[in-house]
Order: sequence, then structure tokens, then C-alpha cells
Amino acid sequence: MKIKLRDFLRNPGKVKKEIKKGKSVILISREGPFALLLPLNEKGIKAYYLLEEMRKILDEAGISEKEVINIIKSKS
Amino acid sequence: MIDASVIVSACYGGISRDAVIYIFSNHKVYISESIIEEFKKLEKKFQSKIGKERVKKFKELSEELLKMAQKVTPEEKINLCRDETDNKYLSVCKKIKADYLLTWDEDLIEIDYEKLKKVSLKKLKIMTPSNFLVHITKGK
Repeated sequence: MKIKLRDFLRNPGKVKKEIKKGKSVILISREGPFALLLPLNEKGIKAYYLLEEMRKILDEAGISEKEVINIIKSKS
Repeated sequence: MIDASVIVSACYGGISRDAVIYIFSNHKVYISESIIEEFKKLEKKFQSKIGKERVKKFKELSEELLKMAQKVTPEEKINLCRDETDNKYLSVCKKIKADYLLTWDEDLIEIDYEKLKKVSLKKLKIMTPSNFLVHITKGK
């Protein structure tokens, strides 16, 4: 089963059902500069949603990616 | 093995997120206490910027994400990286006999293969998330 990222975001429940039925799901992502085929399982979908929720918090707070990476890389 | 900056960068989407969700779906992911500490440092620094409630929520989410990885305690200290704070990643890679270390950090990416070989890390490929995705999608 192949699914586009935007369709996956609209209907994640459908993807989870297919995975539970034992089907493999390929996520077609065009987020990056090139199109990728990413085989996903439930763990990957869970990671996706956790990262998305984390992004919302950082976005709401107006914290940039560069700022967060600088904190991670700082020695203090 | 994924370094903390790649995980944080994956929050913002793009290549890092593609790589992280691919890895969680298809590979074993490992972390160590020192990597968890990097996230704690982040949460601490966030306190003043985003408020307690958001920090609490961010902490819950990051803990859940890190729980999906297997925690290991490195036995051997490796000292190859010019930024010594990054050596912790190499120590974990040695312990788990890692195939890949994903990072955006040039100090790690530029480590000479011969040096890795000398510390029995000859199998390890240190790559950016974008190079990793190119590598794994080759031939598809």
C-alpha cells in the first residue's frame, strides 16, 4: 500500500488499520528536496506523531530549529 | 544510532524527520544516559522561554520517544572526536556494534575511517540524515 504524506496526515487511522492487518505501508514523502519511499510500521508512525506534537510546542513558543540545536550543542 | 540534534531537528520536519521515522520503522535505535541528559538540558533551558506547562508537555513527548529506543550503558570510552562531548555517541556505537550513526555534526562526520578501524568501529557509517536516505534508497 502506498500513501502520500498529505493523505496519511488526513487519515492516519486508515494506515494504522492496514498495518494491523499485516500490510506494509510505504509513505511517499516530498518534504525533502527529493521524493522518498519510506516503509513505515506502527513504531515509525508513533515517532512521527510524537515529533509532530513536539514541533507544535516549539512553534507556539517561537523557538527555531537553530536555537534548539545550539542549546543541545552548548557545553553548559 | 541517532544523535540528539537529529532527533530535535526531526521535530521541524524535512529530511531529519524522514530519516528518524524510517529508522524507527526499520532498525533498532539505541540511546545512552548521556543522550537522555542532553534532552534534560534542553528542557531546563526551555523553562524561561516557553513556560512550565509547555516544558512539561515537551518532556512527556520526548520521554515517550526516547522510550522507543533501547537504552545501553557504554563500557568503553572512545576518544576520537575533536569535540570531546561527541565521543559519547562513538562509545554507544562501539557497545552496540552500530551500522549507522546519523548526525549533522561535522566533527563526527569528518572522523577518518582509519581511526574508526583502529577502535573496532570499521563497520560504522557516520552520515547525515540526507546521505543516509540516499544510501538506503539506492536500488529501489
